[in-house]
Amino acid sequence: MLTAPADRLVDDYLARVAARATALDPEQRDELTAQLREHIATLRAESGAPDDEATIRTILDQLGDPRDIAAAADPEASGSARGVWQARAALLLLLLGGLVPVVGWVAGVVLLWSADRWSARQKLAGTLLTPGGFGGAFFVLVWSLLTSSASVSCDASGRCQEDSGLAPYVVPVVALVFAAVSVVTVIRLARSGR
Amino acid sequence: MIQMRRGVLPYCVLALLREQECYGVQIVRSLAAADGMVTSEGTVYPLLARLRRQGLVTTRWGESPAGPPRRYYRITAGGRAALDAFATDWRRTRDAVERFLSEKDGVPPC
Repeated sequence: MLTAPADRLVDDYLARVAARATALDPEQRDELTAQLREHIATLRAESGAPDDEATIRTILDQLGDPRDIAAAADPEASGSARGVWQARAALLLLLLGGLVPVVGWVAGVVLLWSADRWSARQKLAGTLLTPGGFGGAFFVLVWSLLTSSASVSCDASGRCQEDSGLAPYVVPVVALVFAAVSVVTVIRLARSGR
Repeated sequence: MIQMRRGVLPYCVLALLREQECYGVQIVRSLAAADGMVTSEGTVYPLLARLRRQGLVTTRWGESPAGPPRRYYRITAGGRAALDAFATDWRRTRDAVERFLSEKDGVPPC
């Protein structure tokens, strides 16, 4: 069955609203979708050009950004104290949670994804660019410093000297880069989002 | 200001429904016609759903002249009570604020 482009526009729009209305239970989400569908259908019928793409786009524009509608549906509406603290906790844990090995940072990731404030894309960046966060980098750094003392090479006659090549420096440098990237990513997340 | 508008919007809807029942598009249009009351039309629907969940309005399905049946919203006794309580508070606050804002008479000395 071919779906008219106009109907596809409507379905896409409603799907976007439903996708963002994560704070609603399925029944409430269905109700919202039904309300919006009814609104769109009514205006289409009144317009005299119900299948005209331009008509549909105008109707959808006036309905507004799916994010705003989903936000209005959130019982703890945007700016609620709980939402704000949840977002802050997410950022803190992403950065420093790694100090409580693994678990802290993972908790940060969970909070990040359940927060309303950032888009999926931003959340993905927040997850991939803060591996273990500052805390994780710290541990890697400490580990590398502890094990680098073992990078001593001895020749057959028992004379030993420390490796002076680049190898011992790779891990600390990588750790520092991770730490820097984590800090930058968290700062960007803190400044962005709704 | 945005917060205040968001706070009074439910009561504007209840006032609209005080003596009549309306369907969704009518409510959206009435609100949009009042300057600055809504940012995007779609945000009215979650509000209507919340009013229904709170028992301040009820809905029924009704026929529409040239399309699918649509949902009509009607105020309940609880909605009327909430509206009346709000109206009293609002008028009291409005008068108090006006006293401070108006330069003519009534601005109390410090």
